[in-house]
Amino acid sequence: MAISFKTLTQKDRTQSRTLLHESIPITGTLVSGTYNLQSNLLREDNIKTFSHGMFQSVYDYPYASSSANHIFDISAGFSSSHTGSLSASAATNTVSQVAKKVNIYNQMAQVLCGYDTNSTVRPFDADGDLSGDGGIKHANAIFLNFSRLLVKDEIKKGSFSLELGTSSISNHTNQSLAPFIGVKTITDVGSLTSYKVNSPAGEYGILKENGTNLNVGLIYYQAGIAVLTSSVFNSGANNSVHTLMTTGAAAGDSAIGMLTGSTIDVFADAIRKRIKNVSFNNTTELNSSIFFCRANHDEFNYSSNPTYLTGSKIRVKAGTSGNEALNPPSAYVTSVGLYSPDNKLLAVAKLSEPLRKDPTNELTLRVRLDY
Amino acid sequence: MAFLDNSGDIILDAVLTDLGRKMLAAGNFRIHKFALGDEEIDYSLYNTSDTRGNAFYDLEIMQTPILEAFTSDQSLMKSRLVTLTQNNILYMPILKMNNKYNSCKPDANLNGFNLIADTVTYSGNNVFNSVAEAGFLHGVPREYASTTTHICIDQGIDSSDNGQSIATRMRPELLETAFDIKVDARLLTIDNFIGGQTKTAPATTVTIDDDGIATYRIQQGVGDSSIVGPYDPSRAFAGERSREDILSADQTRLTAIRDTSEVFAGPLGNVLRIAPRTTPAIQTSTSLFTELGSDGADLLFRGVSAGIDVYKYIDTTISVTGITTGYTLDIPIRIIKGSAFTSP
Repeated sequence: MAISFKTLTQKDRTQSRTLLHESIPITGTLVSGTYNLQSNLLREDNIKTFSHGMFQSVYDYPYASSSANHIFDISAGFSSSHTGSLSASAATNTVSQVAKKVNIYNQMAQVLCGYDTNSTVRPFDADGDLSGDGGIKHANAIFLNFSRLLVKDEIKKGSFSLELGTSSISNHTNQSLAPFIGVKTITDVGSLTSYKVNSPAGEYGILKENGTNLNVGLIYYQAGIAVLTSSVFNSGANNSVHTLMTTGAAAGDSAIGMLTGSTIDVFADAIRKRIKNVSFNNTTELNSSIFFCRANHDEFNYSSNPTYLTGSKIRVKAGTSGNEALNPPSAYVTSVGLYSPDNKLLAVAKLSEPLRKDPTNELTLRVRLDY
Repeated sequence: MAFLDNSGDIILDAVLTDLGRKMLAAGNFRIHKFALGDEEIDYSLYNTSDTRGNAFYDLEIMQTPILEAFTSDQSLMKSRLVTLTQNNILYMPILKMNNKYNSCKPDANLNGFNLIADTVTYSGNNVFNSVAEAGFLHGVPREYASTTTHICIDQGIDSSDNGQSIATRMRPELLETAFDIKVDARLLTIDNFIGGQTKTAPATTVTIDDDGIATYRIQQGVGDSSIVGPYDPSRAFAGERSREDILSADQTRLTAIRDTSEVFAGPLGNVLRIAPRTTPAIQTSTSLFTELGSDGADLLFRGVSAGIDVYKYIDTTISVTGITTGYTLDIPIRIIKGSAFTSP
């Protein structure tokens, strides 16, 4: 009986998992300064704000265009309950979205930090050590939420780098250049081999300031979220000297001052103008099914191709002297079809060049399907 | 699709088909078997006259550029490699339309069949005093005077070399005992042509894929099978394509049978007999004709004086594949729906 299908047994299939990494560089000019200002002259065309004002979105192209891709969001908030939080002093400020900032902080904290045994939301811990009183907390936080388009399955540990301009705005007559007289580089150095797993959102690393080695934030790898303390813009010992962030509406304000005295959008504008570079490697987890399609020496040596025959005679046997019937048959493989039990074509693999199949050889074609 | 880069290592470019993705979404994606295909290969490039020796015979074939994989499940794996237990096979059977009987004779110009969409068109607007000419099939199974009643696909070896004749038995492993028939499900259905008093019965084993292509599986000896064997004269009915008694025929009779009944000079295989039918949408509406078809005029099919003055038509194909050898035959079909007629 002539057959053209061969059943795949358990020995002919296996599974594998591959991690694929891409380098994601985001330059500061994309985040601020490249595109035209919107009609309100406040922000560029690639910056999308919302009427609720709880976060700001950065696109790689004017966001109204269908070609635009969402890159990341910026938001900020502070804890309402932790010792040293800003809510008490800020509560009197009616223009600064206090409730929304607290809501943002609590929302991010409950997703990324979880709850303690009293079902209270944990604040962001500077070193990830939750024992005892937990040590220093990031009670006033800036959030950079990277889109899934960039992060894919997760940020690769040890690959995150953020360069921030941290000079006061008064240090230069050109406001766009002033922040970058002094630049801090913040990385998750060492996280490739040392990272935390006590978060409900997966694994995270500690963001450190190069040089001082201060803990200035957390990077959640699977969530694709960087959390920075607002003091990251400060200078001096332990970042205790405030940097003047802007000369705008809240002129002369430090980062912590803007966090309480400005709206989230205004604060996000000031942060955007201080981002010099962001880079990380993303990770895509490829789960593969591998099928070994084995053609033994006595299989697949004939073809149903209409050109295979001329007057019903097999072309590849013709032309040589003697008994042509005794010449070995041959056929040429260009594709592999994978079928369901009821002969439905589910997947196809194409070879980059034909392979000769005849009774003197055997082929094992390895077809990998990624999911 | 682009060509695959064939300058370096041999690579495999694999994709799920649209049907595969659909089944993945439905949760019943299960790969069970594989087949090897060779659709880009033109075996006529196999050059046995190359004086440098047989290592160079397939030089041009091996240089064939290969296209990236399409994702349509209907576009690839049209011709598959076949496993046969013997390596000494020199002749393989093919499929041909039988044009020796009026009952299954195709239209000479079309080299296929005209399929009349509805009874109004077929009767020439209720004129029954003439018989439709050969090559015209009725898309509605009713008893009207017809010359051509069905399509016959014969399997056989198209060669009398090495003493082969229609009396030579075909190797059993090459005999087609089942066929897959693919049609556009919007336009056509398939009936088994059983013959005799029963005439036709709808083919029941059918699957319709995500592209609207219906696949009918017809197997010999299963249900109202319309497959006739090479030595099956008991299924001979007057006016139908049938099989003569080859085994008891003398040489003169064999020659006559070959010339009058068969389309092959060599060993005969099975015969598939089918009758395409039009779907209700084709019978009752012109919307598909407007979308897919064209307009025609002055088609004579009931003698020289009775015809269809104005009509719409759709050109499609019926694709028949032998399950054993994988050989495929595409049969052109023109579906015709008339709107103005001339009476004889």
